[in-house]
Amino acid sequence: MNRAERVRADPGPARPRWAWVFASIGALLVALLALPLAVLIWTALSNELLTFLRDPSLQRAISLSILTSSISVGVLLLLGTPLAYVLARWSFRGKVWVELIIDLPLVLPPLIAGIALLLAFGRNGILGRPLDLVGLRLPFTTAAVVVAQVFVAGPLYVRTARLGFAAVAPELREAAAVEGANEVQLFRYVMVPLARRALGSGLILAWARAFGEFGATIVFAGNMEGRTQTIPLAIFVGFETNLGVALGLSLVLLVIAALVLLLLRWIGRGVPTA
Amino acid sequence: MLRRSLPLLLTGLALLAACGASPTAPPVSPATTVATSAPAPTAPPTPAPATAVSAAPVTLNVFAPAALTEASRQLGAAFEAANAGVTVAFELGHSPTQRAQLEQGATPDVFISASRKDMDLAAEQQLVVADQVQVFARNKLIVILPPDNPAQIESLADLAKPGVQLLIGTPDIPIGSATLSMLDKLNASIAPDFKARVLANVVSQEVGVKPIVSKVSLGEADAGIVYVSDAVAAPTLTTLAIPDEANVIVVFTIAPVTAAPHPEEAAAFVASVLAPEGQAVLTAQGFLPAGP
Repeated sequence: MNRAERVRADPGPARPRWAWVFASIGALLVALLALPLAVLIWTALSNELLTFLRDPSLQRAISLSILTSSISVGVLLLLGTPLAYVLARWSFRGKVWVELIIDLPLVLPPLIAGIALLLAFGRNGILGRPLDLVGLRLPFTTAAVVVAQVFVAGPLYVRTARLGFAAVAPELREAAAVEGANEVQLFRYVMVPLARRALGSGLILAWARAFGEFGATIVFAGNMEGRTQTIPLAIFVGFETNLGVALGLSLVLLVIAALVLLLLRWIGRGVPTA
Repeated sequence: MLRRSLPLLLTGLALLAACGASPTAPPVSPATTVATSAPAPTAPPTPAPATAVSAAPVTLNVFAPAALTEASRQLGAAFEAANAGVTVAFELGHSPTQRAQLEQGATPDVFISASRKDMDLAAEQQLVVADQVQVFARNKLIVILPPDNPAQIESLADLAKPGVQLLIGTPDIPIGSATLSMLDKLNASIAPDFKARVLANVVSQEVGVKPIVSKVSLGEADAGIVYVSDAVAAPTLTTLAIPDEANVIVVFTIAPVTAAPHPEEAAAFVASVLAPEGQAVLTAQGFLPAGP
């Protein structure tokens, strides 16, 4: 706050005029982002939104989306937290490669993730063949939706959690060690509580990304109502025939995304950034 | 405080935006959406002979269904060879989507539809030249199986065996609705609960014909129902023919777009697809000829 106020209290002589230049250029981008969404909301609201939302197949898509993204976030909490902790605390050989692998899904088109998952976990895949022998088939199941979501949303959680762990002051760790805390106690009573805001932010970001997942899901899990048809898939199918359905669901997705960002903003207070 | 959480928020926004995009349905340019109700006036396109084409370089844009993927390359190349200076650019997609894009003001030169319904709707709204809509090919359904046929499907009745993993198209696209009509017909000839048992084996309603072909080729599903032309394009697959009396004939139609930027070339292209050479390309790809 103090620094922010100092900056504000020190207007350069040319500030107002330059501020306008930056602001008007910036406004173009804001307009580009805001206008299509505003039109979408307006069109969706002027449609018979409520009748569509009462449609049982849409409700199935909505509950499937909530269920799968919540499970995905649970999986990430279990597997991603230790990983983030390792990356924040220790250096090791090949760390840079691990970091690269974790970050790749951020920039990879989800479609590629879907094809890769299908090749790996499919019946003829390296991992899929042994699974098939014990009677487990992943493609076209709800579990495949979760795997696709974990794949694409994982980096968001691991990155955020890692920053949170790394931001814990070394003195606090040392103090805990002096008090006789072992590694598990340190993790449980010092690191996790101090990094909880970052962990929470990471989980919310990952949840939102999982919730909006499309490309990997449609390739790897397919499109089956009640089993693998999440909201984004229902929007895509709806766009072909029933624009009202697509619009209604888009509005649901948009509202949830906005709520998530607000929540993130509230939780994210004090979260360290790179 | 805001300053500290801002980068995090921006990352979140960017990622949320990135994941909403669908890879196969390109958004229609907002700049062209105003032209929906009033198609641009054009000279009444007269059916021109295939040679009446201007000398200036022209790119002829054709909206076509994905089922035409292989045939379109040959049709385009043949037309380009016969008409110097013309490049044919195919945009392959789903007929309902492409019809929606026409509605929203997209102006290709030619519209090819895999569903009669979408072509009729486009003609009703005068998005295409209504009296020049023509059937240029027909297609029928076939069952495709992975090369090693893991579920040992030997007859159509086997599609109802418990545990078979079957892929069909979503009922919203032409291949999906044709599949459902075919199952209705088979229901009568095989068993009264045949359709219900087959539908219970469906593991995914794919959003296109090509994804069905890819996933069956990979062996991820035991069977898929596609067009004969798709099976011809994927020769490694095993196929199971569907008898004509149970089969569904899907009619492919072509028409010049009313607001086509190049009406003369559009008419010439339509004529070239209907000409014997064009028809030969299509039959070689597994399509049935236009006439019944």
